Amino acid sequence: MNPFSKPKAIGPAHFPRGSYTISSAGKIVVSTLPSSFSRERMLEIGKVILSTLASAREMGTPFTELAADFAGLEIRARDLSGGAIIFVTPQEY
Amino acid sequence: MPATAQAWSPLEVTTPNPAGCGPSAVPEKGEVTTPPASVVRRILILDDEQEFLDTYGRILARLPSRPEVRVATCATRAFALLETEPFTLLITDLRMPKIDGFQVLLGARRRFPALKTVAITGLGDQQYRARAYASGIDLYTEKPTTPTEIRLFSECVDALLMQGGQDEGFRGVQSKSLMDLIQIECLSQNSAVLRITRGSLEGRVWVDGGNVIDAELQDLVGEEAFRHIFAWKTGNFEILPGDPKRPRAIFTPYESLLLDTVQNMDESAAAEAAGEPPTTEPQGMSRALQPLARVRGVESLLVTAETGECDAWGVESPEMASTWTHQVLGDFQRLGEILNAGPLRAVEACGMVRGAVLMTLKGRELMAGIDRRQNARLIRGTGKELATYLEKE
Repeated sequence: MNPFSKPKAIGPAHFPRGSYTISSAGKIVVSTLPSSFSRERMLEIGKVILSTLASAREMGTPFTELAADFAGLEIRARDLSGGAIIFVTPQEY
Repeated sequence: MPATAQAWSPLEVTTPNPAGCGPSAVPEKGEVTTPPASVVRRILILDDEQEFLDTYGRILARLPSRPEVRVATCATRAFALLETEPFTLLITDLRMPKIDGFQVLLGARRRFPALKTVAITGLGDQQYRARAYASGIDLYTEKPTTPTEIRLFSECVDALLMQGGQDEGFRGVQSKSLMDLIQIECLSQNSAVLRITRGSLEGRVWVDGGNVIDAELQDLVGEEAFRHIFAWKTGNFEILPGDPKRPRAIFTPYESLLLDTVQNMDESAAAEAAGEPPTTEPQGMSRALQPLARVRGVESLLVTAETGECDAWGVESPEMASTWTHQVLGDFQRLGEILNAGPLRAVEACGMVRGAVLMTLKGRELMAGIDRRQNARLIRGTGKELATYLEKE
């Protein structure tokens, strides 16, 4: 134990900036995000985006663009014929 | 606008029709469905631009009502056609050499009073518009250029064609119901003031950018005035230029407003038939939603409390919308936890039909339907404004 070490700040993680495309089957087609941003995270985001776009379509209110505004991250997605292009942007303070 | 169950596409047209000045039947591509002679509807399109005639002749020939379309590039020929064949609808350009569209409309009104008329122009001029409506047309519209505009225009034309003869209605020149008038103005995303008179009574309905924003009848204003005016079966109307300074007092989307008003009238009629006194309880939003509804761009609202109780305004199926909102917010909140992205502030969506903002504040879930003309940046601004109101409470 190092008595001089500072405790880690509790807050949102730091995120890279980039985009990726996900197919309607939920597979990553192409990505500009660094490898530090894991495929599992991309797939998790893609799953929620695709299911939200699909459920909106079922409700009779199709959306072409979707954005989730978190304290530390912005996720913006555009519908691509059942798939989506997803932009990941860290929030600036 | 009556919904049409039949599927059709106004944009599946690629080959121009080489037609000249004169009667020109527009051929269908691939399919010929001839309706019985008794229901054949004919459209005459008059424009000095051959390209416009070719394109729209083909588009309109594919409408669900399957009209026969004739075209003419000059007024003389148009009148010759009107004399020889019964037409349901005349669509005319306003700016033409020699005899312009206004002269054509006046002549058509005098000689063929049953003919429905549409004025179409490349100019978005309010004075042109007021003058055209004063001549008694059924619809004034700018020449559609985008697929959405073409679809809306085609739907308006089809609705005009499908209208039968009416014994009652509001008369400019053609008979039409107040519902038709408001739908046409709103679908065309126009700004206008409808001045409606019935005997000594005068009512006004303000339409701004396709939204009914206010109504006035003697001491009544807003939705209450609208409902009273709407209940009139006959009267005269005049369409005046829009009044952008009129403050908004009606926040219900026009579709819901018309639906609510018609339902209210039906219920009152049923109650009267059953010998009950008519209900006078106003229909509208709860007091809690009123400040939220005043935020620019907001068209509908749904607030769900922790108890599951919903407070809705302008939402067709509040329970379904509440379930969807809960599901979406839950999914994104879980995603935020997985990513360690911090608290979820809002989920925003844009679409061709409308936009939406979803958020959770003080244990309540909010879904706001946003005007479809708002872009993503404006939707975010609207969301922030809504959050400010909710936080204040």
